Amino acid sequence: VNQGPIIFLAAFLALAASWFGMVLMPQGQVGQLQTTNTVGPVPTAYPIGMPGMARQGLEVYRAQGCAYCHSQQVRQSGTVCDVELTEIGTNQPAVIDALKKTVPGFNPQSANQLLTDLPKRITTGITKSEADAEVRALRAGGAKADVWIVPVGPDIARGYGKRQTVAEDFLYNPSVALGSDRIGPDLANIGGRNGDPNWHLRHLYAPRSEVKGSPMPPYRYLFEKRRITHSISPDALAFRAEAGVPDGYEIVPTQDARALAAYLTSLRVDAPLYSAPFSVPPPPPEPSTNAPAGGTNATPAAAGTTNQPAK
Amino acid sequence: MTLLLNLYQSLGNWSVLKLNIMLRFAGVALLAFVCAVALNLVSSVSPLADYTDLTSYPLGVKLLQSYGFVALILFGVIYHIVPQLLDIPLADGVIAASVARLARLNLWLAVGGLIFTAGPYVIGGIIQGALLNNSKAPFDSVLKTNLMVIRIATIGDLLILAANLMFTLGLGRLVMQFYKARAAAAFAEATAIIPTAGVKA
Repeated sequence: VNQGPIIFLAAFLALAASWFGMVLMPQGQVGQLQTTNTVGPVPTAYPIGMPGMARQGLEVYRAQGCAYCHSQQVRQSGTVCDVELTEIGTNQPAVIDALKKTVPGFNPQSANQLLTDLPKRITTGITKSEADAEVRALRAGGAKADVWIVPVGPDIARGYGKRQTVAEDFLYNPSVALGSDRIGPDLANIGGRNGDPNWHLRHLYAPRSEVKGSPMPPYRYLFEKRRITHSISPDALAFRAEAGVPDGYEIVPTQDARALAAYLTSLRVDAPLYSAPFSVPPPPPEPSTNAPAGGTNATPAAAGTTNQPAK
Repeated sequence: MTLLLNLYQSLGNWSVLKLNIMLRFAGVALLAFVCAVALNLVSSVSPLADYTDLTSYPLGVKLLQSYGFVALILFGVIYHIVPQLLDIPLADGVIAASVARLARLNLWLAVGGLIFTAGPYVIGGIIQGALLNNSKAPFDSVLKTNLMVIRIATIGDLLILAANLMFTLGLGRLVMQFYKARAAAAFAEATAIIPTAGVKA
C-alpha cells in the first residue's frame, strides 16, 4: 500500500458521505417536527402524548424484545382516488350523461340502481386528475360528488393501517421500536384493529388460545397464577379451555402486563396527515336538539369491555 | 471490490489461498464479505427492497458480515499470531502443528454454519417478502415460511456453536502448550545439576 493519502481521503469521503446522508439529512428532514393538525374534516392536534400507562408499556415492549418479531411501520405503495357520489341533484339526465362520458363501462340501464342508496363510490382506483375531471363533470350536471384519496399497498390491504407510517407518529415516543422483521404481524395500528386490552392480556398469557398456530412464546411470567381461595379476583382474566389454566387457579396480570396491553391498544395509524393523506367521512351532523347524543343519559353498553373471551 | 482487487494484487492469484489454513480462512471471509456487499446492493434498490425489508433477509446479510467476514478473518489471524506470542513453533510457518486439525475442523464447521444460517435467512427472507407483498396470501403462510427458516437456521447455529467450540479448544490447547513448556523449563531449571566449581573430591 503506497497510496496512503489517497486511501485515507477516500475512506474519509465515504464516512463523511454516510454521516451526511444518514445523520445530517434525516436531522434536517425530521429533527424540527412539531405537533401538527390532521387534515380531515375536523382538524385535531396530532400526535398527542402517550398516556402514562402506555408509556410504561413501551418500556416493557422494549424489555421483552417484542421488536425482534414485530414491526411498527406500515408501508404504502401509493394512493389512488375514488369518486363518491353523494347527491344526484334535480337534473338526473345530465348526471347520467356525465357518468356515461366519464365512467368507463357505465351502463345507462343500471343507472337507477347505481343512483340509489347514495352516497356511493361510483368509480374506484383512478388517478387524481381522472377523479377531478369526473367530479367536475358530475357537478356540472348538478350532482354532489367528492374525490376520496385512498392509500394502497399490501400493508394497507392487510389492514395494518389506514395510511403509511410517518415520522410524526413517533414524535412523543421516548424510544422508537420500528422493528426489522415480521415474524409476527405489524403492530403499528394494533390498537385500531383490536382495542380490547383483555384480548391482548389473554394473548400474552396463552397466544395459541387466541390465535391458532401462533409461534409467539407465552409471556406467563408477566402474570400471577393464584389459587382461588374465597372468590375470584375482579382482575382475573377469563380464559378459554385451550389456555390450560388449571381448575382452582386464577390468572391475574401484573403491572407490566397491564402496561404492555395499554401500550398495544394505544398504537394507532389512523389520522390523516398532510404528509400521509387519506379521506375520511365527515362527522355525523349535530343533533338539532340540546338533548345528549343517543337520546338517553343511560350508560351505553360498552362493547368489548368484558374480559370474557370472544366467541 | 476495492478490497478484493487490493488482495488479488497482493496475493498474485487466488491459488495462494489453498496453500495454508490461515489464507483459507481469509478466502472464505472475503467470499462472505463480497456476498454480503452484493446482497446489500440488491436490497438497496427500491423496488427490490419491498421484498427484502422487514424479513429475515437483512439478518442473513448481517451474519455474513459479522461472522462470515469479521469472525473468520479473526480466527485465521489468531491461529497465526497467538502461537508466535506464546513462543510456540509454527509447523509450516503459518500455524502450530498442535492445532492444525482443529483449525481445519473449525473452518469447515464455520462454513457449514454460515451456509445453513445465512442461506435460509436470505432465501427465506425473499419468500417471506414475496408473501408479505401479496395481500391475498394469508399471514399463516408467512408464519409457516418463517418457522421453516428458523428450523433450518437452528442447524446452522449449532454448526457455528461447534465451530466456536473448536476455536476455543484450539486456543486452550495453545495456552496449555505454552504453560506446559514453561513448567517443563522451570522444572528442568529447578532439577538441573549445578556443577560445583573449584572443589575437588
